[in-house]
Amino acid sequence: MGSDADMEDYGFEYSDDEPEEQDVDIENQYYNSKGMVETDPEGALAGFDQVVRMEPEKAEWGFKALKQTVKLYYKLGKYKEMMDAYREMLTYIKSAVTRNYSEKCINNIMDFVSGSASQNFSLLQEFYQTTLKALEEAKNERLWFKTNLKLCKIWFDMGEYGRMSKILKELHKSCQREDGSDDQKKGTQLLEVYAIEIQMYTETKNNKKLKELYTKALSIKSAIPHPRIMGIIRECGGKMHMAERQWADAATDFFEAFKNYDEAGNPRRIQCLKYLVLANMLMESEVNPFDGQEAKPYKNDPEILAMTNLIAAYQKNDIMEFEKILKSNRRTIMDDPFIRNYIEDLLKNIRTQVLLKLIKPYTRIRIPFISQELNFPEKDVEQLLVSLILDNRIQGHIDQVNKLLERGDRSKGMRKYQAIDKWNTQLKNIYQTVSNRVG
Amino acid sequence: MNMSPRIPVVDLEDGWRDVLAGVAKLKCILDGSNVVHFVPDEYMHLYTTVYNMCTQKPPNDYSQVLYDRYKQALDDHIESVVLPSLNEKHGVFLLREIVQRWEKHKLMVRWLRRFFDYLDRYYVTRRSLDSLKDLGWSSFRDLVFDKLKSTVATIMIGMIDDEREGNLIDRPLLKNALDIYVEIGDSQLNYYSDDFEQSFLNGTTDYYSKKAQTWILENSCPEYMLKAEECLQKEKDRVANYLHSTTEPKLFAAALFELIDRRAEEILNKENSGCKVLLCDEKTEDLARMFRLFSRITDGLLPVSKIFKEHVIAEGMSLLKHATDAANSRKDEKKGVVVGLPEQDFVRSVIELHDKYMAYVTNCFQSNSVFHKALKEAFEVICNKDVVGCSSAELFAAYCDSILKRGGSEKLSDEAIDESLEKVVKLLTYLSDKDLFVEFHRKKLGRRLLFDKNTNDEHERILLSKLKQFFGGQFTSKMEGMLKDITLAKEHQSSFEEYVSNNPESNPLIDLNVTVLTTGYWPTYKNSDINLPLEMVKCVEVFKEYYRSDKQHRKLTWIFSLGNCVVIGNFDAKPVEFVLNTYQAALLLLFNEADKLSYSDIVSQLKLSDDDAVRLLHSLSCAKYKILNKEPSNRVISPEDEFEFNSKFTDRMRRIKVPLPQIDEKKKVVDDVNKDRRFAIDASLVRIMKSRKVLGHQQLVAECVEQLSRMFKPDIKIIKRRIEDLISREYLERDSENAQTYKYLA
Repeated sequence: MGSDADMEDYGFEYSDDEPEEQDVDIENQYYNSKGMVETDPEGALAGFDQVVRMEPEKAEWGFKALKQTVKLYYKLGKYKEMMDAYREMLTYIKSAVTRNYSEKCINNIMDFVSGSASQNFSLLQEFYQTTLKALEEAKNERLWFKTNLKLCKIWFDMGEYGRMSKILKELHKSCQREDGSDDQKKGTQLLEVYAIEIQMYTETKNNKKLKELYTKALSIKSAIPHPRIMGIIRECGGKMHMAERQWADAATDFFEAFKNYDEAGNPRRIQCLKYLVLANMLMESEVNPFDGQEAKPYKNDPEILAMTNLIAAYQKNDIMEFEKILKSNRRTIMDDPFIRNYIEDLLKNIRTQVLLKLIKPYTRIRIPFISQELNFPEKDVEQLLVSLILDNRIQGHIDQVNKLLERGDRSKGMRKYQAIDKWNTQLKNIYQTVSNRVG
Repeated sequence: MNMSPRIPVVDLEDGWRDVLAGVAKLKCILDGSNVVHFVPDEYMHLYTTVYNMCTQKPPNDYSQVLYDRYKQALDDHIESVVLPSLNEKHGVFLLREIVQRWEKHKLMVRWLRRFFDYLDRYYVTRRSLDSLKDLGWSSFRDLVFDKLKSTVATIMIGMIDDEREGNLIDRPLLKNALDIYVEIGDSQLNYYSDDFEQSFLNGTTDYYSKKAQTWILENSCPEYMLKAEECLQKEKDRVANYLHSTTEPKLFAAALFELIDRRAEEILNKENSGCKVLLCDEKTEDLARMFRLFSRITDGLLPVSKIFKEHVIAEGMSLLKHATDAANSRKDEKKGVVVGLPEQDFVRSVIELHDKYMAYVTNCFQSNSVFHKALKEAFEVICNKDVVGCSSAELFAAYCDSILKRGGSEKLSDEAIDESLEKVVKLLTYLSDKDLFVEFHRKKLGRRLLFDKNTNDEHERILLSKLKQFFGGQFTSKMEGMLKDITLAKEHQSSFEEYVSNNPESNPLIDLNVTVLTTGYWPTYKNSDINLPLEMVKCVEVFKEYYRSDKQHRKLTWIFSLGNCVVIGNFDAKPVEFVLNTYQAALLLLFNEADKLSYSDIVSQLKLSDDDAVRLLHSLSCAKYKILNKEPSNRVISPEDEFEFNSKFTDRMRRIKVPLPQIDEKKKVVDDVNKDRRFAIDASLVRIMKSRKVLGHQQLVAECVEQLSRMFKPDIKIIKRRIEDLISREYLERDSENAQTYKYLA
């Protein structure tokens, strides 16, 4: 066998990555059992059990074996045995393995258990209770926090807002100092709590709470935020601003959300681009959002293209084209309830633009003509005209009898009456003078 | 003429005779020989007599005469009674006598003023003369005080010196005597100051000069300082007991000057017990006393802080030497190129040293800014030394690495880790090459993240937060990006697995993990474009397809050198799992098709460079695990060699990690940092010139150094070279009239 002295002679140096002499039998038993997982599950389970018992003290190999055992029982559908093995596995996390490793394993297990939450609600419940209790005892605050956050997300997906709120309260408490103020050192954690809470308030349409949390979230400086988290916060912020009809702020938020989702590789980025286009239209902005470097590559995406074409028609005030695009891209555009909610505003805007342009050369125009040009019922056209007159965007009045819009400056009419009145006064004077002469 | 009955005119001598009778009685009273006091009738008679004599019409108005005779009476008394009694006495007895005489004199003046009150109210006022009191006191001053003031002062100073020697003295007497000096000047202190204080201060100087000279020879530094401090305290007490309060600062300054100021150097440098020795022996109480004493003299702390700084530096150099010796002796046993344990111990020792002397600055030196500066300068020296060819920047990075990575030399609790990181970051403020630390740390962070060697993600984040807080966002932005990439990579992996399960036809049938990294955040890694085995090619294609479906606008570059592979080898004895680098795995897979391959076959089939091939083959055939047999069977890889699968290979372990030879990346890191520095200098120079337009050479260099010193200390020669380069690239030009002046060119 080659000794260390032999190795030195030829210039290559090997680092001693594993100086400790591992217990060969335990390790070999583990890997032998692992090799049997696909071919002989029962044999593998027996092998892993052997590994656990071979270890004099709780250590790495026992933990690994129990992890494999949990996964295998779950795959076999033996949930009771799975939970037993899982509980035993949790007793290792205090000291037997590194924190990162134990967190990774528990996360993996939680992920595949959660994946089938709808089918196995009671197992899920038991699983999380067990995990949270063990983590609390092990004083692993970080994983406790993440587990609670995961549970929160499950409740959110199920629409269980009551359960969510209860957990959120605990999470907030864990991010606070003694005096009750938020501990800024836990910025990253706070952002995650805010993100899911913001999502909840978005769904429950609680805009007041949403705004409060949104402001708090943006003021956190000490975090190394996950781009998905920031994306969520910004997206919900954008929706909030849309609800408040603050189109410019909404556009800013959606753009930020898009950038964050894009960095994270999250498909929500397409949706946020659509929202951005929508906000720009409502803002009546001439700025093309696809001039930006980040958004340019998505210009030709089919879903985006529909919105882009909508913008083009909108900016050309082409009402026919606008409606045609809406009709042929109904799924892309109208399937999103958020977008659908604002499409009426869009239509009103474009009709207004077209109307104002249409009536510009005329002093008198027939309402049926407008109706035909706008592809809009006469009654609705009249309604639109009324609101524009009241907003002082049109100078004129409506002749309902003859179905006419009479454009003109009312002050002109006023001057006419004043002139006539003056004339009348003069006539009266002449009459009196003449009468006096006669008398 | 009808005349009413007249008050009889008082004759001068008759009236004065009456007054003198009163004066005589007063003297008897003051002498204590007759306890009978004036009765109201007597007092009224005297007052009336004086009144009458002053209010008679001229030539019988005797105000002037009475005024003069008043003073004469006092003078006569002093000449005939007071002075003789004083002349016969010395020392403490003289002091006691003069105090008594002064008290009696004051009483006499007070009573006579009552008799002669009319004069004070009318005659003195009308003529703007000295009041009777002033007149009376000036008698004592002129006839007694002026004669004896020096003698009395000398006596008092002698008494004070006696007290300084530890003898008991009559303090109230001393206070009363001193009060004469104050009162005689009507509290204006000029007599006190001129006639006593100045002499006293001179005496104090003499006293402590002699004492200091003796004590400095007989006592050690701490003993001397203890004495000095006690003396200073006693002088303060003295002022509180019997000196006027205005004397305190002067007295204190005089004593301090003699005890400390003039002896400063001797105290500090006293052999076997001076400042340096106190620091070595950790005599914190004595050091605190030294601080208290020296902080009171002008620039007194500077020499102390200088010694302190030199001491800290010496301690640091001692640690450095120890680490160097340990590292050298280890190197004799092994040819190490990586930071080893002795270097780790050095960093830990420096941290402990900093804690220790920071405690000194805080506790002994009351957080004085002079000592903070001294400590800072000392650690700037210590923290910028190389240890056996490793820069401090590298050492600190390695130390952080050992804390943060799994299986490191530290086995610390979470709180201890947090504390250690805090301390390292504080030491980093002393490092002049901070950018070098960043690069080394980033390199190690990359390895920890990519090979999953870190024990706790939270600690990585905590460290970055601290670095960001101390040095700014620019310092940490790349590393934050790295952490973010790893987080996203985990999510990508989940998405990818979902993609594979949704697209069964694209399943590569091998477990595949891919980590997507953002260029720019991560250090540049050496990459070779090799021919992968078909199994691996399929994996790459599948992931590319997945990635394109998700991010069609991004380009992937594959870095196989960072990859790991688990391969099962079927040997005669038993199967063994190998954990291999991707290249090692690719090489081994060639032997699935052929039992024997030549060096050139391997190189051409994989498209490997010779360096890589030699390194890989050595690890597989010449190191601990000989998976391949080599012909000839020596330990050097050469192009003529042939390799064969070793079917007889076996090992106790079922799973084996096959290590690759280490490569020294130190030079590359340093080169990268130097390149970045060049860019930083260029940017700084252009920025300065853009705002100034015209600037002299010295000023430009100075500003450039100042701007960049937050991250590193630029070399002046390099700055000059960069200026020349910018001139040749036409960012700057020389002024046509003055060669030392530059102009900015748009």
